[in-house]
Amino acid sequence: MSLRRFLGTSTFRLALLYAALFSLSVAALSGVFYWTTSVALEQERRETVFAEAEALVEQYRLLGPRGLSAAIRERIRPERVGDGIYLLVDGNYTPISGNLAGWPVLQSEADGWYEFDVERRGPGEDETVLGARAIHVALAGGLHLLVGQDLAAEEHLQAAILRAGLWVMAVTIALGLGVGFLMSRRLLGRIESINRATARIRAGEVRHRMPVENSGDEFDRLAQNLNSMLDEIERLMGGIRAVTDNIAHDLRSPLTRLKNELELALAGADRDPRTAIERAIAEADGLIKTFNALLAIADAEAGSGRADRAPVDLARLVADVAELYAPLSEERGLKLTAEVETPATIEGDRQLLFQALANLVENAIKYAAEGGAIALTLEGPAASPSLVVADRGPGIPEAAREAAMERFVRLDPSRSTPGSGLGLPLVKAIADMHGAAFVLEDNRPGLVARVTFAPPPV
Amino acid sequence: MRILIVEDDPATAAYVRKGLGEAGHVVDHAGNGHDGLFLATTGRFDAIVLDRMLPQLDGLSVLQAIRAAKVDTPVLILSALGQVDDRVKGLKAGGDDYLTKPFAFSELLARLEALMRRRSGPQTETVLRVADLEMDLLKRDVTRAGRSIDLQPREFLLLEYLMRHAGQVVTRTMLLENVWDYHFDPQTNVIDVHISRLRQKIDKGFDKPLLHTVRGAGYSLRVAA
Repeated sequence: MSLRRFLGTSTFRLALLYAALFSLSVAALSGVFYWTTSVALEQERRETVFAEAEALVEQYRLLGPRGLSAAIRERIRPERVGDGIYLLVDGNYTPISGNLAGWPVLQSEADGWYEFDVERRGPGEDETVLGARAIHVALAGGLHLLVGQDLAAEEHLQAAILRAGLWVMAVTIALGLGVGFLMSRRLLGRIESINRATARIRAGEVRHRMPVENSGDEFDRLAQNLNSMLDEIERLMGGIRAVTDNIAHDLRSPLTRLKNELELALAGADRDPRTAIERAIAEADGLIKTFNALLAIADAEAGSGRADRAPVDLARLVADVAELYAPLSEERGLKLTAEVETPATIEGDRQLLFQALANLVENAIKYAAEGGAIALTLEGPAASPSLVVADRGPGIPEAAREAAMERFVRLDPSRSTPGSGLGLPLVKAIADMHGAAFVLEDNRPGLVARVTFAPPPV
Repeated sequence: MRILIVEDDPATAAYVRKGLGEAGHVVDHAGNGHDGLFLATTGRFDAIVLDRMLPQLDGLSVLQAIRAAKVDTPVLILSALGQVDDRVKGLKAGGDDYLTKPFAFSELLARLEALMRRRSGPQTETVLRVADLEMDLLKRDVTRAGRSIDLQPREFLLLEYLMRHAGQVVTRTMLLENVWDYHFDPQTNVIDVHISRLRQKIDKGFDKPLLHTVRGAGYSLRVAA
């Protein structure tokens, strides 16, 4: 991976974000630490100076100027290493004793505290300028006393804390980048593995699936969801392939016959062209019927959210279908009975529900054995009613029942029985549209087709 | 009768025009929504055949404009969109009937003539008569040549519809829609069986059959020529 690409990855950006957040929090922590220690240190040192000044004023009160001078000299003896600053001056600010050459030039003054610069030379050192802080006491008798400290120690300490802080920051940034990089690489690595799997599937490996680590985390759930989506797509693609094969038969054959009839009519041959044309028209009508059935299925499949629904009285629907088909079944020597166990009304499309029930009855009439019975029943409960059509025909083997609901699937491999093979798929689409379950069962012997409506949501 | 066809596909328009002309109607044709609307609002027509998908102004808008102009000429909507809610939309917009492409010309003609008939004659008569067949709508009884004929309720409705459209061709889908009130596409000859039962009752035993099968189209109740 080139540097440019690496800088563009989410891994890098996340790592950077981690590092920045880490650093920011450590910086804030260090800042607070630095500030509180500085304040505490300064407070303590001011108190020391205060105590020193009080002690010296006490000396002055007890022993007078001479005693005070002695005390100061005692404190500034070269052997005594310290940072104390002492100066006693007379009324004209002429130094009497102390370790300052003269009254300092003040930098600032606040609450009786003076701040100024002093020049100091330690043993074997160059002269340095240091900041200093002192308290000014006006003594009885016109003398002035200055007691204070240089700030070398404080500055040292602060510098040390600052240095430590910078080190901590450096380590933090390094750690943040490192940890961030590892963590984000782990997370994004899993996304990347999903990306790679997707690329393989797009490249044609349709059976490939997303890796699942069985940890049950979000990435696993994502992978599982994608996998079930892929399964569904594969199933649909399989369905399309089957439909394509069937269309080849169900649409191409009538089209070929249509073309043949017209060619015969054109050739004039030895028969009346009208016959050929009439046959061609009949073929075209059959094709139109097939297309309309396909459209109706597509329409019902797309219509699951359609708004124009109205209450449909299922008992009336059953009675109407039975009334419409009774003469036809009778003519075929079948006995069609209708029974309403529990009257029920559901929200739906009356026309489509009628079409679905009519398809089931037509199927039963088509396959029922001579002299057989077809029972049309509206079963309860009223909240979740079932429309049931039972016949005594050959039935459908259990293994083929799912396939019977697919478009263009006719279970008779020779396709010699009439029909478009779209009757049950349309029932299925209409049932789905109404949130109803459509199942085929065994009537021992015969077929039970059952459309069960889901109870309305509470 | 004068019929307006609003249809942008020249082949379909020519086909319909020729067929209606042969059936004895005068036909005007508009190739787009604007011209169609202009012609329709003249009110000179007995029926309008309106395509749903038209250039410039779509069929439903034309229909709404026609109805807004208080022109109540019957409109048959012609559409390639054979979907249930298209049908509902078309009828809600003021259409009187709806036919999906591809259609059989006989179906279109039968429906148009039914529409024009509905308009010309108010249906207030209480007794319908075709030759010696008589239907009393108040007493709900039917006689032929004075002989009482016993009909099931649905057979009565079926015969009533046929008698109201006597002399015209009615198609199987028209019967399903108007007698049973369901629009769907049966795969079996379910209507034919009902018709043959009715025929048994009204024609059997009489020398002149009234209920005729029109090949490739439907049925017609009339005195044979």
